[in-house]
Amino acid sequence: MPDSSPPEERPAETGTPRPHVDSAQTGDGAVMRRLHPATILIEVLRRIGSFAYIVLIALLADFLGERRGSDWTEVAILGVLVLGAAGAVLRYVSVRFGIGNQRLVIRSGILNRQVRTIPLDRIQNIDLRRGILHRALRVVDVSIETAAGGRAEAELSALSEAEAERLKAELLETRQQAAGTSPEAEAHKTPTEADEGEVIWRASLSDLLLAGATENRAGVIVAGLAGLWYTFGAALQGRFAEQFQRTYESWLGAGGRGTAFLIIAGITLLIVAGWLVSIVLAVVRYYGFVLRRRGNDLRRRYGLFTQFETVLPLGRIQLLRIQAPWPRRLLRCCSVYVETAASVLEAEGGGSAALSPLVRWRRLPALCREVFPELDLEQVKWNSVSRLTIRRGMIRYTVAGLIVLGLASLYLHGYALWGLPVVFILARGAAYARFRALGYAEQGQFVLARAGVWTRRIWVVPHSKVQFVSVSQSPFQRRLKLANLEVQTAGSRVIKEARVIDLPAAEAEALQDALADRANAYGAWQPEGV
Amino acid sequence: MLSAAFTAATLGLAALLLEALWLQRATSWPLPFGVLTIAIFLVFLVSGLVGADLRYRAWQYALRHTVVLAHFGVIWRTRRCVPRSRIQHVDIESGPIDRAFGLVKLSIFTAGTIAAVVVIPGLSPTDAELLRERLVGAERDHA
Repeated sequence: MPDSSPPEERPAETGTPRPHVDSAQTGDGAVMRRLHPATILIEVLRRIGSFAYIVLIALLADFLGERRGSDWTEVAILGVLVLGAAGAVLRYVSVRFGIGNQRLVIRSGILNRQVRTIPLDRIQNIDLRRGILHRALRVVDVSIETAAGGRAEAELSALSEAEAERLKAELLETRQQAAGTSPEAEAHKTPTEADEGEVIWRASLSDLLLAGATENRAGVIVAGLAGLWYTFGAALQGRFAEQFQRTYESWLGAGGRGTAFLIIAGITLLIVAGWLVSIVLAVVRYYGFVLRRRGNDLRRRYGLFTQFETVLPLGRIQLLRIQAPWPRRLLRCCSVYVETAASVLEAEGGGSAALSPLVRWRRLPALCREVFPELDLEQVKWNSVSRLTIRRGMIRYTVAGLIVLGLASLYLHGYALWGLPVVFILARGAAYARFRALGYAEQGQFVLARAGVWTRRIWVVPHSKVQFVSVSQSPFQRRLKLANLEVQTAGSRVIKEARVIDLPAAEAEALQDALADRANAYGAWQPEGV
Repeated sequence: MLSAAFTAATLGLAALLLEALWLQRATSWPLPFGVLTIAIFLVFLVSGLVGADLRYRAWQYALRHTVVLAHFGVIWRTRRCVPRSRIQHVDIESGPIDRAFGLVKLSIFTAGTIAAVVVIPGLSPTDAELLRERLVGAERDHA
């Protein structure tokens, strides 16, 4: 969430040059521009929004506790309002930005002045975001990221739509000119819809419905309910416990016989609700998803209520991830994500950006070629891992199954013994499925890894983006002479990326040496280098 | 290794303190005061010393023509290859215990990671500086 302290007091992060006060006066030869006046309104609402939860809790606590008329709540709310408004006005008044001398300069703060200078060639991503209010006021939030830290280095909130488009065009074109990558003489054109580039992929509504229908967010609901219970549980218990008890007993009788029924009904309800929620979420988030290519950038635009617009420079893509939970695999579909060096869009899970929430298999190789032209997904020859992984999987799943069975035997008593063969057969099947799922491949300048029984994941990493390679062994693996190989890029901070599990140790080490060698041959890591 | 043993001893001492605090509160306790404490202290110390020795043996590094190779870990073993051209920067640091024994720790960083990719503890300052020069210094290209 965009932090809203008006003077951005945190020091410049690594990679972002330190604020240079002299350039503030000259503005680096840049014409300094202001934010859109709607900033004030948006900023006020955002500030209130960030306090809304606290206010809500305070009010609810008042209400549930039945000690109304505590003036402090009102005073606090008023204080928040006034402070929020003042901060918003100050922000609007103080922020100025401009481009000049191959740099983006942003001045902010009144008491604590800050000048942030970002060289244009360091910019990794440009994100445009408009919420409902933004759309009503025809303004946009622009955030600009470098490879430095965990969040956007510059947030310009808000600009008018025209201004944002102009800024985006300026940033991109100056950058491409500097990099010499875009010879087209389109620098002086005003950006129009036709200028947005060639459409690579567009999501239809049925795609999105399918994308939602093939995942299940029951977990989100559980977390939400747990959160609510944690906050209001104590208060609710006093009020409703008795009533709940009465309803429960009148429905199912006083005995514990209804408990099993209730548990099953609850789980079913949860799964159905999770399914519906994920359909709605997929449609709301990705509505109207369009992926375009223009020069060396990929551009995405999507969103039903809050609209997002992202520019992903192709050279900055560190790895490609193809992901398909089992239902999606049945329908011969998958989703495709890329990871860039900046940790873009935390909302999308681990700093990866969706290239396509749902794509059919036959379209997949073409889509991947847009990112890595040399990659031929149809010709990939997968190597399987050691067969000993079946034994390991077997042991692991059997132990898990026996624990479940042990718990079940508390209810089922002797009948639980019948579960033993079932556990063994299931464990055997699951272990074999795991062995079939695991694998790696090498093709040209790419290394590919594959894993996941339920959710199948395929990682594609170009050698040029490999930062380091690890081979690790647990004590059990050591006994079987197995090892895991892990390829790390500058992309995500997710530990479990691009990993091949249970390779024969000697093979893992040979592959590791070869990969590291090839990565080394590409020379120093260039943020833009392909 | 000595510094690791020192750390273990510190840990044991911390356990002793915690234990003493806890025992003060407990009202009924079958053992005489301090027996459990000393036992825990000893377990910590011995495992710390043995662990330090094992860790020391497990920690190896090699500088190859194209890569830096590091082995570490006692129970979970890792072999890590860092392409030498990918090294972004190198840190040399030493804590108070390290300094008492005249040792330093060298850390290697690559792009996009927050934590050090490879840590080589227990180097002598001259060795560390030599290594640093070979990794990121002027000698890098003909190392």
